[in-house]
Amino acid sequence: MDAFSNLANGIMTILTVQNLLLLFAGVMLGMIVGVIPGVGPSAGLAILLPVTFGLDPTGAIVMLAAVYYGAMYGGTITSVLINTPGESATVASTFDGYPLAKKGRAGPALVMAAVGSFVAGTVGAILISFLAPTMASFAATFGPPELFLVVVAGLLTLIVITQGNRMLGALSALMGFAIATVGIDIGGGQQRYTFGSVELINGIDFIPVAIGLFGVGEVLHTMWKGGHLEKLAFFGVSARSKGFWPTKRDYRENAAPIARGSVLGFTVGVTPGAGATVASLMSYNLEKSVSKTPEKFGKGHMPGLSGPESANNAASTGSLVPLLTLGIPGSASTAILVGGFLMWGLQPGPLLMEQNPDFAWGLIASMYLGNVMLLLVNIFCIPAFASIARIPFKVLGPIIIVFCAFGTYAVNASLLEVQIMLACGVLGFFMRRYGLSPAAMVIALVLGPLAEESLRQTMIISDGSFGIFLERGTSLGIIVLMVFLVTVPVLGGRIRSGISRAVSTIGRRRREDAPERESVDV
Amino acid sequence: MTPTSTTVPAAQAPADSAAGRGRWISPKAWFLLGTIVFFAVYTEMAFDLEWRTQAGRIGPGYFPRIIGVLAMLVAAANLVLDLRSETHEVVELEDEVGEAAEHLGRHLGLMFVFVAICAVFISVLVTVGAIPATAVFLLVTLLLLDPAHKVRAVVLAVAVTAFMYLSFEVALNAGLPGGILDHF
Repeated sequence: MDAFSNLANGIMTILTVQNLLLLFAGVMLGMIVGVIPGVGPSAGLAILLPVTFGLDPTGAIVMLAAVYYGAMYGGTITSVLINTPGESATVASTFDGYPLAKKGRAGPALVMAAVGSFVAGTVGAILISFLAPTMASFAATFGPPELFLVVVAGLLTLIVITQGNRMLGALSALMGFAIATVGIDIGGGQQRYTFGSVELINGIDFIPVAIGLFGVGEVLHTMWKGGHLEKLAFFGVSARSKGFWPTKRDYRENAAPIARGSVLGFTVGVTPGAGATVASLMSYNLEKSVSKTPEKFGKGHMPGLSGPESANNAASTGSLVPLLTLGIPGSASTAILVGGFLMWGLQPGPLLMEQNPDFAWGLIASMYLGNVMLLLVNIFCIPAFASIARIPFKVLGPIIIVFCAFGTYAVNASLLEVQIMLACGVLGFFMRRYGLSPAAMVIALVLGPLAEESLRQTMIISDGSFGIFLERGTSLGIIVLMVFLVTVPVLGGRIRSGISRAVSTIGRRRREDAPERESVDV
Repeated sequence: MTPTSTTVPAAQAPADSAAGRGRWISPKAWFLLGTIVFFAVYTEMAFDLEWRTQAGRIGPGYFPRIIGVLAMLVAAANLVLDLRSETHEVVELEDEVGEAAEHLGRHLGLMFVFVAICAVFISVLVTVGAIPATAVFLLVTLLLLDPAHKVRAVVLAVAVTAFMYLSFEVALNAGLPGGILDHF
């Protein structure tokens, strides 16, 4: 099969000393990004992206992808030990993780979360190995009309699925599109919104915007909330202590939640806009609904940790599918990776896997190895990473700002970009404060030029007629999907209640069946 | 990020003191008003750009006009919703600093002082140089956030600056601005 031979080639590509070292560096940096509260994977990727400037694209993507999924592992440590999620996708891990630490079971909780993350990451890597080529070959048939509609559909999904106010999500996306129009018009070469600045002729790069919104914005938001006054209550953990390892019963009890979380997470991750946070919260609700003992959830029940942990790792792998096959980022983190593709001279889109197989398959192959590394690093270095989480924000905040400033300056040696970064940091603070979505803004900024170019090409093909969107089968299908997405908020309540009713019924049946089975066993 | 919403009744909104001075306008409404003004200027400039080229193709003003008009409409709709709202919804995205965060207060003044120091740091980055500016910036901000640990602030300012220099200048050859150090 093609997938196997491509995967074998991918493995051969990454089996160089440099790539393995980059993978290891990415894994370690991802863990550090994960354990630092207030620095999510988006901020970590944005700050580290300029570091990859001098690397070859395969090495760079291997390292950054490892940072991305490594952050999912690392975020769990703080969720369990200090009840503070390292990043949003591990919020659900605090619900049962911290109570487990209070019970003196921090060690087994962290090991089981690492095992769940490993299984989910590996399942995700297997699924992406087969799904990505199929989707890519289908997407290769897309023309400009379909590409334009896919971009719009991707943003629509992000806005519809986004938690909170959808109108504010739409406004955030429009802000991103507006920033994307700065620079030379690709059609006629006329300058737009450059105000005579030579530096703005090439447009506003997404790197200062992303670093500002996610890096500086997070620091300002944490400071506003009093993060510099925070005193951390911390549960210690040691690999040598008695009861560090999970019991056989733990493994038995968590096998099904890990399996469910892996499949659910990957499915949610493939959907643009949904992401790891939604996946982990959905998994927690699912586990609670189907559990025979739902009353134990929230009081230190391990399936309440292992399910969401598996889901967020599988989702982070799943979100790479639309990225590799369509060039459409489904989350802020993958938007930064798309920006990286452009920076490394690659064209994201349906032809990426065909034209750059070493790059795409090297990335997929690195996930298998990266997950093994993360499992080992997690289990044996938990105490070391836990100690990083003890560094207070009042020390970390200024250091992060210096990293952001240097990282931004390093890309184009432009002071204007560093100033844009700070301005975007302040904007990011207010966006978070008032419920707007920095993620939607960055995704729109990355997709803006693609949307404009594909619409321009579409209009040239159709002689200016919008009827072309209805004449082509695939584009008509995408329009139907978009109509469905628009109606989701209207029907959302009914769909949600229908699903939760069905899941509750399954859970009730399981609880009713349990005593019967026990009596039969006796 | 996981939004958690806390609802503050309008009557108890921070501008209680403004009771009798008319209806309180939330900071969010001011933010949205600023956004509308921004997009009004953006749209006005977009109308100076061509909608279609002479060849009948999409002109440089095509996208900006659509974006500008849509953004003004969406921002205005949000503003109306906010002004009409009986309650002021404060959306707090992911509580990174844990359960205790609510008791730590809000520090808008400190945040703006920090932003001002950042602005000064960035504006002198080229003239003074990345290394000296970083050392001073770190010292000032570390003392601002934690005045009790002066020695720690000095040690960290020197150590982190040295680490940054080695990482960006020596390892990555990023070409950081030398500033006054170029004269030595």
